[in-house]
Amino acid sequence: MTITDVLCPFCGALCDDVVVEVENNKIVEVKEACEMGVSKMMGHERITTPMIRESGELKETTYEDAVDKTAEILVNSIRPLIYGWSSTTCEAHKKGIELAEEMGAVIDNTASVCHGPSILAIQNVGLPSCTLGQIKNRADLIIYWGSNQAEAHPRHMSRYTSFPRGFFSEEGRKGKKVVVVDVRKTTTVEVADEFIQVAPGEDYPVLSALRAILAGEEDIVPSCVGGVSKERLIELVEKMKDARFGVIFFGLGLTHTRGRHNNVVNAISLVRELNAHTKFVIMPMRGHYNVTGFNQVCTWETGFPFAVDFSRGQPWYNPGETSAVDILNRKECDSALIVASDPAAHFPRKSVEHLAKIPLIQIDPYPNPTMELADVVIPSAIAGVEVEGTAYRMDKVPIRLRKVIEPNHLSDEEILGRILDKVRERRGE
Amino acid sequence: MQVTLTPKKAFKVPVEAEAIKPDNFAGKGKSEIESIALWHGNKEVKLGSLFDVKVEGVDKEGAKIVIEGDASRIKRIGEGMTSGEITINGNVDMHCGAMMSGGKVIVKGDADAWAGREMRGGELVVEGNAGNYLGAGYWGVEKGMRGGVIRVKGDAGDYVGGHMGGGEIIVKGSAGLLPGLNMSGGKIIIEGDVTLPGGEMKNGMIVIKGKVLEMLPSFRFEGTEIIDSLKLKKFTGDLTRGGSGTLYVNIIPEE
Repeated sequence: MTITDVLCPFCGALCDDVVVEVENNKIVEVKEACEMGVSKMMGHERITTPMIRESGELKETTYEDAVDKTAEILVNSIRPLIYGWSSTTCEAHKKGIELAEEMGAVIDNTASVCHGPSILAIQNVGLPSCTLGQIKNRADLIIYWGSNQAEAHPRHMSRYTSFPRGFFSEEGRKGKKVVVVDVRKTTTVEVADEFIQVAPGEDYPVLSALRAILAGEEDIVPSCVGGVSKERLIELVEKMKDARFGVIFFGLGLTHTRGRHNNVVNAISLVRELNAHTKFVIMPMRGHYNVTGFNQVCTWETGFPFAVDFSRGQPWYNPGETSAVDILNRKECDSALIVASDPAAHFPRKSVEHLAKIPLIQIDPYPNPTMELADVVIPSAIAGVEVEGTAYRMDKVPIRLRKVIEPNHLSDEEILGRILDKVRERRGE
Repeated sequence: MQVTLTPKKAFKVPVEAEAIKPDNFAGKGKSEIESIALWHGNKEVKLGSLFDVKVEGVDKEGAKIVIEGDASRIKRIGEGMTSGEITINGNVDMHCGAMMSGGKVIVKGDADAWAGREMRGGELVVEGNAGNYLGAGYWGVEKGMRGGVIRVKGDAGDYVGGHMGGGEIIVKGSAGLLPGLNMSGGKIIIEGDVTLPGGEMKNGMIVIKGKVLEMLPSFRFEGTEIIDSLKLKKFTGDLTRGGSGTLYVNIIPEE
């Protein structure tokens, strides 16, 4: 059976043109997706059954016992941390936030080690942005800043930016200029028209220089800023002003280098000021396919986008204080529930050391380093392959994930619902 | 009156203790103070279950609170206080003296992030080092510190006086990245070294007596002036947004 228009549940570009061949409830071929998408959708090693660690060894058990053990751990904690979320559906997010509220837990998603700084910046200065469809049809200047999308979002350029012919961009690639600003010559540079190399950690002063030039203060800008010559900066400002419709896509090269959210504030402010001259927009290159979705759901449920602390009943957030890495580094939390994420592979060593010491529950389709530390392991069905639901693309457009084969496991939403019921039962509610 | 609080143990899960402030203790006896509610993780607990309490004298106002021992996991001490005095004989956790409008807080050790956040008045003294966001404003608020004085004898972290609108911050040691970020009023004096001072500043004054390790490219040199018997270079900015803040610096990198 051939299923068309399948969404790829891998990166934030959320390609929706994938073709999947299914035989006997098994995916035999995936077409149109990139290599990463194909690998995820074709599937690989899975966690088969729920497990509970007993005297150092993970022992197979039932969903019922694993859920009960999870509830027991959470109910006995005074500062539980619930983290992950970016590779599952918005329906699961909603259930997770309900659980966090019930538990008085801290709930955080992978944005806090990714585009969290972008969200903080947006809270300060807003975001002049648009959808990827508008960019496809209108943009003639595309700037990738600190983002190697050729490897991180392989189809971003061909679907939304440099290559497609659009309503007002009939010439396709020929009619568009692509500029890469980065600290090194990435793969993206190979398909760009221009590369501006910034010294590591110098994005903030470079952006300040661009804004000063744009404001007509070029006489005060030194001859070289952050490794870029003044002439080059003036040229870039001219190019930006001359564009009919410009866009800056930025990645972790801006959000997780010196200055962090302030780099993003500076970049957004530059774009805002460019709108006095032409149409210009800016967009974060969100990583996981539904990292944006969690921030959307969390904002409409709690008023805050991530790192929400429910310990005092009402939600509050202060990234740096209530974010997962910081809570782990300070050894604050006394248990952790990880859903659809792998912090053991990606967090700083100090955080992982604390994760290893506390009761740890993992809900995930795949075995990963976090499983090696977990005390309870609950396998789930793969959202977007075995479970349908909603995901938000990097431009905050919600799209419905499709289910292409029948699952052998419970969905994240269902597992979380069962945990919530057990927690309420244990607390006598 | 003086109230001495001694933590019964070193906490791992932080205690949220904005209730520990002279305004709340004045005129109260030992048992009343012990029954004040604090938060420990997701549990609301009585102050007496976490601290040993000693009360000397009873006054209706001007209470003095002394915290003995480790307060490095006790947040929000003195938050919103309007009068009286708090002495912390050790380190203290985040938000110490946040939003205070009067009285005095003395931290004998180090203060973690957000000390003096959105302060309106009074005095905060940190004898050790201060963390990030000293005297700054919470996410999205228009102004950080608006009044009062913060004195730090050691070093301070990044974003000293972020979004500051008034008052004064004096750091004897060095500070980190972007002090005075987005400030619109008030005065910051740093006697040691800093990086990229005055980003997006609209107004107010920053004086850096040590070294500026890196200058922003968007400030205009205006000449030299004598400040506190030091010959300093005067800059105005941040001209990315037509700011008219004043930045006095001593030693800057050569172009």
